[in-house]
Amino acid sequence: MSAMLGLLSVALLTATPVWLATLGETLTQRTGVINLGVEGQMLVGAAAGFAATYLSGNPWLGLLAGALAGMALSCLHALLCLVLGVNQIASGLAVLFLGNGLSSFYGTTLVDKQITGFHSLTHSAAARWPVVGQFIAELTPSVYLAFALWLACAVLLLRTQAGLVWRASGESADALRMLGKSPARWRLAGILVGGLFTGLAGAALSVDYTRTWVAQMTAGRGLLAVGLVIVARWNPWLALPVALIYGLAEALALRLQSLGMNVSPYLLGTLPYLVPLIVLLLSYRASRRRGAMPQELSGVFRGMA
Amino acid sequence: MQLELVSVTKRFGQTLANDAVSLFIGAGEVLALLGENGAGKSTLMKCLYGYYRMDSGQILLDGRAVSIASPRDAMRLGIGMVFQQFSLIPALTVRENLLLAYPQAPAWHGRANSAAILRLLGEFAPDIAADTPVAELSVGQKQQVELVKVLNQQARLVILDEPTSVLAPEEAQRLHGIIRQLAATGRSVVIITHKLEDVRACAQRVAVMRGGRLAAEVKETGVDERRLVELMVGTADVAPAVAVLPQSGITRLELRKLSCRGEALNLRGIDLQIAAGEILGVAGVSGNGQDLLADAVSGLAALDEGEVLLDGELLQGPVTRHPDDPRLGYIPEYPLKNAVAAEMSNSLNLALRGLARDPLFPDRQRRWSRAEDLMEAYDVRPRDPGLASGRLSGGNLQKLVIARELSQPRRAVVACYPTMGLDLQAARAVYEALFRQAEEGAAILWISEDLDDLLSYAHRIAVLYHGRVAGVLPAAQADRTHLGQLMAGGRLS
Ligand SMILES: Nc1ncnc2c1ncn2[C@@H]1O[C@H](COP(=O)(O)OP(=O)(O)OP(=O)(O)O)[C@@H](O)[C@H]1O
Ligand SMILES: [Mg+2]
Repeated sequence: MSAMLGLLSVALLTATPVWLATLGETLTQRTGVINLGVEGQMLVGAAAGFAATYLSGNPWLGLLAGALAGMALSCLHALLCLVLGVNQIASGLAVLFLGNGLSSFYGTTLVDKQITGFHSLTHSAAARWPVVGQFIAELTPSVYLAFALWLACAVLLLRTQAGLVWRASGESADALRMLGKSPARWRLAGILVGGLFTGLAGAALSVDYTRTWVAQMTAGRGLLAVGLVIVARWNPWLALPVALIYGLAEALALRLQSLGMNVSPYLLGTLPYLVPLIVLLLSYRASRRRGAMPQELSGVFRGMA
Repeated sequence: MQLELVSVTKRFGQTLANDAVSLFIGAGEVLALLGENGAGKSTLMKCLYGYYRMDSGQILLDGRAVSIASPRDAMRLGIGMVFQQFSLIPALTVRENLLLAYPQAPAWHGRANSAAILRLLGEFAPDIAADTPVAELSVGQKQQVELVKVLNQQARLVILDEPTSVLAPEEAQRLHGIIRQLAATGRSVVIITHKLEDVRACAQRVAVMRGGRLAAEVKETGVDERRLVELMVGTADVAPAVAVLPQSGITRLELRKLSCRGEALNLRGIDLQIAAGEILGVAGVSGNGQDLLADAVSGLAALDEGEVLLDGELLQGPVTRHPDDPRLGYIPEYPLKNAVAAEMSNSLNLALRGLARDPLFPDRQRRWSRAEDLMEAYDVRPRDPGLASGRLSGGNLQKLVIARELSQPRRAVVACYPTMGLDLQAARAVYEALFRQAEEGAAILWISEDLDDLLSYAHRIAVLYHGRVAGVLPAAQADRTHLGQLMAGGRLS
């Protein structure tokens, strides 16, 4: 396998949790709600997913449990900002800290536990395919799952009637109301689906990528995903390339570290966060000109639900 | 479809917007609903459309009582409405906007299966491509898409809330044609309007509202214009009382080779001179650079080249800009968006000019009482300085902006569609305030779509076409045909 493909497969593995979280937050924001609690939802998903895998021995069950846990926590955001009318920024931060605290508290018993993740594909038939065989076999089921969800979401959002109403509720709640539709209902769906995806993202991280549980193991990936939504200009298709930028930077940092570069690992660790930031800066002007932001998001600071 | 509103009452807090209004709308009939700003026309129709829930009253459809609790119910019963503020989503394409409102929209959006949705678009607006984002359409085109959207819902009663207040004359005529066509196919139309042209062109019956009540109902045929005006605003005398003569010789406002880049098109090489006391009208089909011209002169848009001089002094240039110069009054287009902070109080909005020169702790008491005085003088209703300006009706908001911009003497005034959406009396008040400034020696740059008003009140008329001045004519020598030619990009013969 060529070095390039090797780097790409590592990047994809690394990027998958961020990819899923970016996708989830994109879906949420397209209904006109911002959820800063992604990090908390990922942590809860990671802890629940790891625990379920540990107890059942089935990593698929782990992913499911993680996704459901993320969605459960996102209900809090829905309650606070859709029902009680709390400012979305404040509500999102509450979710973030609650998720962080809950996962750390209940996760203490999970530390140092061992799980068996997905079976490796390296000895399957696919691995013997020419050129791409090795590459395909390197990837894990959560990458394929993310790929399927990514395709499905983008197509549903951009090519169906339900997706159209979904986007419309992020563009103009008033227009939707004039048609006799309830924007709040679509926003609830947006928050819950976002919770589901980010919980899954957390589980993918703990069950499939690191296969361990450590408190605060997401290390800012959730907040990064919120930023990447902007880099991707709220376009679900762009969630993959944008997450890949992060993945490549992370893969590069790991490679440099293993080559024994004489740079502090802490500084190298900022690389995956710095690179998307630079991309954001470069793409900022373009995104402003094309007005890609769902218009209802500008109401966030007015305290509107 | 016959429809009858029986004793509809709707209250907003203290305001009684509709007071036991009963109204009949016959099948295939075009009913014009007239009345001054804040009379309750929009509210009544929004109750019928289920957007507001009426406090009491009944709706009879073909003699049968129906309950309309939401726009969804109204659509199901065949009632469609085009709102005063458009309800299209700018970021979506025409096709998507139509799909969004289509009752049996296909779950999957393929190329092939939107043919039914686009059929009426092809019929009423063949020049609009289905995949254009709505943001790129002109106002008139948006209106047509709105109408197609409503017709797509199989509407048998179409309510149009001030559809022509934003349209250029030809676009309005086209809409009149469409309305007559709708009536001919048995559909009923209610058109809310302030323009007598609309009544003349397509209405069969006229209902007039005043102060939340139905003031009169007349057949269109045979009622004379003065009587209609009188019914609408209580007096037939609506021509502005101020007549000004320009003080020739003194050039007050001068635009020299002004070029400016805009989102849709650029202004190039605009040369205009306005004398003290002169009213220069600017005509043109909307979207030919009018708003950009106004922004450039008042210093909100950056100039690429050229300059704006006031009394020979540099006011705006590529390097210097004075957007809040006290010598300049500015009434922008769409006051809700461009002239006020909608969430803030009337008292603050009235104090916005010169805010940067205010002390750190301004005298709130004085601000408040000044607001009270201004609102009294310019008849802004309700007279509440503490109310958020976004809550005012369109006409009253415009009066608020006029009060702020024209209550002090100015050297120059830029007015962009200052009477858009105003009733005749309110329009008269705006013109008087504007012309009084001219009388006191201000140079007036007045952008309008109303050719008749321009021809009656402006001293000279400049026509804007594709960001250039296509020609300047003294009003006495201009007529509609002349101007129409220039507006369409033709040359003077
Ligand atoms: N949502 C609202 N909340 C509070 N007051 C309102 C609301 N909508 C309308 N009003 C008030 O009800 C009255 C009637 O308003 P409405 O918009 O129906 O007038 P209109 O006849 O359509 O006037 P215009 O010609 O200016 O559009 C006004 O006094 C207005 O201030
Ligand atoms: Mg109205």
